[in-house]
Amino acid sequence: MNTEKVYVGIMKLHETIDIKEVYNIMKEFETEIYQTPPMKSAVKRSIRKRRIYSFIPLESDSNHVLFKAHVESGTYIRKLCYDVGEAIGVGINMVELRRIRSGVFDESSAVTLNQLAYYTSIYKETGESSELTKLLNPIEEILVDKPLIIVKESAKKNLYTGASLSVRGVICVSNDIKSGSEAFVCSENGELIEVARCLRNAEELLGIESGIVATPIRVLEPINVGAGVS
Amino acid sequence: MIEVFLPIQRNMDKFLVLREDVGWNYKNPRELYPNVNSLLTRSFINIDKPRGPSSHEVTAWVGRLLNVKKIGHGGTLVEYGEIPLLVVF
Repeated sequence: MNTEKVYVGIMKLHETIDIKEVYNIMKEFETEIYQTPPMKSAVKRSIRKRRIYSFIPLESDSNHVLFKAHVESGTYIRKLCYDVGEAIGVGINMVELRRIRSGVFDESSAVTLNQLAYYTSIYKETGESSELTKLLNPIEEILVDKPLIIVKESAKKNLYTGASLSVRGVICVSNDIKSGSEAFVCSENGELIEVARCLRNAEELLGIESGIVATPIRVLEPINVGAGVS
Repeated sequence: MIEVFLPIQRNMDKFLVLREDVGWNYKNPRELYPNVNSLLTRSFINIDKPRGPSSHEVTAWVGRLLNVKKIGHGGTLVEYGEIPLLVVF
């Protein structure tokens, strides 16, 4: 998921300096920066560009700054804080970090494990599921900014059994559909069916009468009343 | 006329339509799910993960709690900190 992230964190200054200097440097970092992933990383350690959309001090004391950072996915906040220190000439390290938003997932809708356990036990013991249901988000809600292919209801059955998608089953597509990349396939009643690999660009679809448009990558389970919490 | 119910609000200018006579509506995806059991195998939970356990441990814990076998997670792994964690199943 290459969604933007928002973090709140604390950086610690190793020397006491005029905090205005830190604020000014932070503002200068609100641009495209270069970073190399740290030693302990899951990705290839080559230098890469990342965008810092905003990097704002919230509060400070003599040698700490509480900040909020809105960054491109894959930005290392620890390195960002360290580099602020490099720019000033004072050692700076990040000491606390909390991500408060990742794409559509926001802290305000985040559920603690305690809450989840509590409402699950209410459901198990009394059959009352309304509170538990509020904590579960239908998978369709992640489709906000994703490439979409909308298909006829009649195409659903074949897609759920793993068939490839023919252009005859397609009603419409978002215009960011690109050959080789992924798209989410929904039926005309809004139900997400699968993630698929596109074989065509969006514009090509207007001109063709037949042919395969996408092949399945991951097919969901159809919506049904099945076994869940016992 | 074909009536299409989109599960999310989208700008229809950004769509290419292959059929004539298509009408658009937004339908809240929750209406697709008649009960909690149907939702359990096709939803995500935005979890405020505590510091101690790993994302993997938390995901396994949630799976046992809800009696769901196919469960996964996404979201960056940060060494420490409380982070919204996405658990998908």
